[in-house]
Amino acid sequence: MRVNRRDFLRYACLIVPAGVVPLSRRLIGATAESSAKQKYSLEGHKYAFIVDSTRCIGCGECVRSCNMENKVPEGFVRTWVERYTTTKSGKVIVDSTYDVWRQRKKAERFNFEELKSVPAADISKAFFLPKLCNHCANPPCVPVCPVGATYQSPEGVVLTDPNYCFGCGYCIQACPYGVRFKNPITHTADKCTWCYHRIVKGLLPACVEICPTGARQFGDAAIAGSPIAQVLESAKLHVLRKDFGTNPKVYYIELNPEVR
Amino acid sequence: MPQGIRFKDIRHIIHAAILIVVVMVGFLVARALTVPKSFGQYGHYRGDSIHENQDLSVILENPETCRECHESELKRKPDEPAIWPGLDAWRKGKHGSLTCANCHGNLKEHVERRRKDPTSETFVVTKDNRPQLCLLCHHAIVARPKVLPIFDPLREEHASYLEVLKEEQEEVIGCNTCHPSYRPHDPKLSE
Repeated sequence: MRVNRRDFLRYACLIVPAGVVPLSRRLIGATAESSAKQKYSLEGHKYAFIVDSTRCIGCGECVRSCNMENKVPEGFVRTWVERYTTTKSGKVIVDSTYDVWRQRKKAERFNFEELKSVPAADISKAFFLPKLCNHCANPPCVPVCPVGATYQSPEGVVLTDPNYCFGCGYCIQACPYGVRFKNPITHTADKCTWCYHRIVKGLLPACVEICPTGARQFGDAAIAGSPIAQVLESAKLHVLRKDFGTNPKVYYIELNPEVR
Repeated sequence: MPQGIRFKDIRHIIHAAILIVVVMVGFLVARALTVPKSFGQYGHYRGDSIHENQDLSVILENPETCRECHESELKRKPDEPAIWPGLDAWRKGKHGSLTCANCHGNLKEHVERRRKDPTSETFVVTKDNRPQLCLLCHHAIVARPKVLPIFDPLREEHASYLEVLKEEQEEVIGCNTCHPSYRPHDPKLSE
């Protein structure tokens, strides 16, 4: 069939807009949607948390701010501070703001009291150690969930889904660090999220923000030259219970062997 | 076709097959109805859960938010002593690693308290227990690093201060009477 110029132009005028209009609508729709959504991308992050135990002064501000930020029910904590005291005879005494949790006492301040059981002259070494969810690269809590209500986000943050969890408690038992608990209000598993709602907005986790000495540091190691990337490269880092093979992403500067 | 098998026997197999199909279809329908839509979007979990976790509200504000009101001199009351050195000068001081909320409480409660009663304490604790706030960090307890200035109750000035506290006088002096909170390394003890 031969097409003359008149017919060609006529059909071209009909066909070309018919193809372009839906295409352009898709393009406009896509750009409008992406600008309306946050610019935060789930890909390309490598979050790391660094605990400098030499700097911790045991004020308990991290625990208080975490409980406020995450509306943690009274009597429970998502992060806590431990105190390891070694006596001259080699005995290790551990006490913690976490004791508050175990004793289910009303605790408003979460600060350490004077250690009364040991006379001051008998102490050879003592230090504070903050603890929180390690956000393991190989988390034992995730595969045990029967419904997929706890998971690793694409950035590697271990999160829970309180709207889907039915509170069987397997993950609470699976965690070797004891960071999970059952929320008595929602009756679902609850844990530290590294303040995921804050870090996606470019803020620091509440405990890092409030820490007066810089004992808690947080950042995205995927950003070259960021303070956290420099610390990860240069400092001598340890993780809790490396032998468990959980590959924690909470790194400790100076970890004493008595820490468990 | 062998002699013994008749259509009547095949009917049983067809019944069983229908039953299997009904059970399978029933399972698929039930699954489609119960599994959330976003399940499997990023992995073996509800994809919407990520966005629900992201959308939780931020409660603890950082000093940059406080700067919006307190960086300018205009917000300062005329009779108030000019102790606030400004955010950048404070950051250089020894208490510069703290954040506003350590002493003043979180922004929301601070604003609500001041709105109710503009003369109320700006500190998170009242005058009566203000030393408790300082002692959270500066109390000499086991394991506290020695680099931190530790409150020594046996010092002469502190002993008299504690006497004042015991008597519960009207005008209780806080630690910041002698140690300025924003520049603790610049004591006005000589004044």
